[in-house]
Amino acid sequence: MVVVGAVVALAIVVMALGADVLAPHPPDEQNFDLIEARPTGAAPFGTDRFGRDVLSRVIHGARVSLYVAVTSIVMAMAVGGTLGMIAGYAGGAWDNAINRVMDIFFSIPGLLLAVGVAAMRGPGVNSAVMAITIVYTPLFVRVMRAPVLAEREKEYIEAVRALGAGKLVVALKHLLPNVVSPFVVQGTVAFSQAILIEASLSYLGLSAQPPIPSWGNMLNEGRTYLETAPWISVFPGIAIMVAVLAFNLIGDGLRDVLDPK
Amino acid sequence: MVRLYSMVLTLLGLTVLVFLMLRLVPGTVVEQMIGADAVVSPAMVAELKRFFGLDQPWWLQYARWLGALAHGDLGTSWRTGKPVASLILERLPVTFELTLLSVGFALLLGVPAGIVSAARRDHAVDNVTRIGALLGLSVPVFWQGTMLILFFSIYLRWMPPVMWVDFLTDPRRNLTIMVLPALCLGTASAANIARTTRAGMLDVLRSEYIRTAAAKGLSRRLVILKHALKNALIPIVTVAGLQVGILLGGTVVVEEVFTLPGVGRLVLWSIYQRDYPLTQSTILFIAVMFMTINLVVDLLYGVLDPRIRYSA
Repeated sequence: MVVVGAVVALAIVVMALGADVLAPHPPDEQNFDLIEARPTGAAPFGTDRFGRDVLSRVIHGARVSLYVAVTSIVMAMAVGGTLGMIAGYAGGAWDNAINRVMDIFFSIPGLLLAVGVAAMRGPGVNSAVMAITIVYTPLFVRVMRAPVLAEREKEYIEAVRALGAGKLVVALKHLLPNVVSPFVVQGTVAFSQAILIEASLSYLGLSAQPPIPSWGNMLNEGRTYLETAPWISVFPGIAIMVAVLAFNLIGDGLRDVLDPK
Repeated sequence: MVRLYSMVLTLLGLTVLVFLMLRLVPGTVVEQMIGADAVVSPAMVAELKRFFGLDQPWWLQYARWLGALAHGDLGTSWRTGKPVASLILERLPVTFELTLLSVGFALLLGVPAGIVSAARRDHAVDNVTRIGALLGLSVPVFWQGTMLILFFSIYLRWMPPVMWVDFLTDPRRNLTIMVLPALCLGTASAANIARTTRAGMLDVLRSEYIRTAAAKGLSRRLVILKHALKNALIPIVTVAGLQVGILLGGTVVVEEVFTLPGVGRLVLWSIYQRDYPLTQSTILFIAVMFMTINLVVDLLYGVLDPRIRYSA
């Protein structure tokens, strides 16, 4: 299953990177002879109310989803990982302070926090990036902190310290490689969820703004035409589901390999 | 006691976070009310700011809000002029009912699916459950909602249009309205619960006491339902508890898709309208509910497993 997931995920990445070449039409090209046309050979996913090709827009929509998911999760892993390492390794007041602040973020349901941050910053792709980063940073702090706490007490760390290694060297060279597995697994799982949150934000009009196509905003636009042109809503939703499923499969596979506990 | 003290500290931090986040946003309720093209004198703008207390330094505005909260006053909505508490209470039954029905659906589907999946490991039913759970985790709730609306309301003409009726007025109609939103909101949770139940049951089924129970001649059904399930309950309760909180957040999207007049939509509306008192207090209210649920889940551990006790 993990291989299937990896192949599909790779296909989605290729689709996003090569959207300009792969899409049969530019995403905003309007064809007034084909308004709300049913899926046919000329437009396999049909067209929307402006005669834009839904397939082309779905292909281009992958860009926004992947851009937001990759950027936000990398940022959350970097910030959360650093804070988690500091909290776990330095301990004491640092640990206490970081944990208290993270508790505040944990006290709001994730999606609500994302909606709040994105809405307050104003709609846009960067708002979605910031919102998802803020939602996932506390999670990565915890995922990094817990194994660091356990690992720092082990004898090999004590030995390295006794040999005169500095704190930074101990943390990056000796601790990090031994605690990174659950962190990476969590990263993959969070990545698939980030795609879902981005789509939700887009759907609520808080991420990519039309005419830039994103899977979520296509679904939102399609809502009004559900009765006359359901294909506008059907295909972006399938794209989201397939993408999330692919990354979930990779996450599950990685968990089995890297974190068998 | 330690948990309660920590909860109060977190809530205090949350008040600062929510308050500052709102004030960092460009544009205030005044600009929004006036509109971009309107010609309004600076004196009028200043008057409106004074009316909403926006001419005060931020720390004074914060202190006033906190002082009012300490007296149980959640403030007054700038847009509607109604007390925030009454606006929340008006909509709370909708969100509460939606969350409850979703959790109920998730538990009813997730727990049996997880048990069957574990008991029939690597059989067809196990594979179907695992794939189904993965699909459940992957489907976007708003798309699922849209597709259900499409299928039932438009093609089958089975569902009534979403004109809200509360449970006490017309229980049958209310439940008909709520069934699709609850199904949507509960799907991912059902998938999570099924996966956790399966993993927990597989762990327990490997234990020696289970082998002993089977060796004593107890039926497999009794071994699984009485001996194994009881010991697999802690992770299930943890996940189910966490799901309640997650579902509270998910109501924002589901209430929007199905146009249900709940707290989730109220938050969204208040954010768009820059209605600071309403946003601040509603988010705080949801956070208190979320934290209380987490606390209850923690306390439940002690009931389920007497070895776990929390110090006073």
